[in-house]
Amino acid sequence: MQRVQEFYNAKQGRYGSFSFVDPWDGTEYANCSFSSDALELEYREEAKGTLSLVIRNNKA
Amino acid sequence: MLYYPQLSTGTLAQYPLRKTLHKRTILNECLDNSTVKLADPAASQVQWDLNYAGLSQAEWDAIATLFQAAEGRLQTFVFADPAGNLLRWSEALSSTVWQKDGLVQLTPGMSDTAGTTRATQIANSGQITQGLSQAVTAAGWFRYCFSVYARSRTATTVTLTRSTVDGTQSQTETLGSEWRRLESSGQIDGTAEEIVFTLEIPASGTVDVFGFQVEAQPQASPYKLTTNQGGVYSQTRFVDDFISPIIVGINDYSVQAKLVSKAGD
Repeated sequence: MQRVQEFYNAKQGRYGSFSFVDPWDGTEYANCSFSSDALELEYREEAKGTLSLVIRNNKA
Repeated sequence: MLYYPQLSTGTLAQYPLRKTLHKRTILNECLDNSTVKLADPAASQVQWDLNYAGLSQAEWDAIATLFQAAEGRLQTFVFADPAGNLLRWSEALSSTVWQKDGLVQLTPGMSDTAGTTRATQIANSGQITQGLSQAVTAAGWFRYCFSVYARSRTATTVTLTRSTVDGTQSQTETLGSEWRRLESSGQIDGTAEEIVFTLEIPASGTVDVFGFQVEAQPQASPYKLTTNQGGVYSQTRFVDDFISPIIVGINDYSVQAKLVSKAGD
């Protein structure tokens, strides 16, 4: 969860772009962004919890 | 300066807790289907939703006293992120946030406990004890846990120290060739508003270190890498101008506190 936070901060929410490999078929999309300017992390215990995020391919 | 209080357990929060990172991106969608984006880093915020149950009278009083002193959401206070590492640049020991004695030599890129090469070798080439430290601007009287993974190819000792203007607590540990997580936990009474965490290496000693971490709680949680933003937020406010405890019974309070802070302060 900490690494996701760091990455999200580094990309400044939906501003930045990055490469993402689709875990379903292994296709690499070179120009993706987070779709939201909010990242919600629910900690169930120390350093463990849930989060959800949507990654958008900028070149549809 | 105002500080969000620790509970009698030495922690700042109870689980589950919610932390939300808020950013602001200005997005202009043009008629030709292109988009122009502009980041607004100054608008970044972090919000915590803290839910407490079973608070004692004294614990509730401490939160209520802060709320009164802060006048609801008007004034800011210091909050130590319960899900964070209070140190900055936890792996970049060459950063200026780390104070190094003159005879300390750093060699990054060593193998670490995570199977990567983010550990740093620290060599003390002098004939006296040398160390590196980081000062954290936070309540010196809180209970803290200072932890780091360490090992040494030759048997040696290292000393972990927590110090404020009110006092010092040290703990010396013996190292071997296997990684060990060293922890120094405790509380220094007083009114200091800065606490310094130091790792000292004896004369001619060489150790590998990885994962420096400080938390405002009694024991170490899994290591969390930090860069420029540590877990101390000095511009935190209550989100609301009200706080509504539920009095479950005598000496038994439940309450929800929502806090928000500028990120990167």
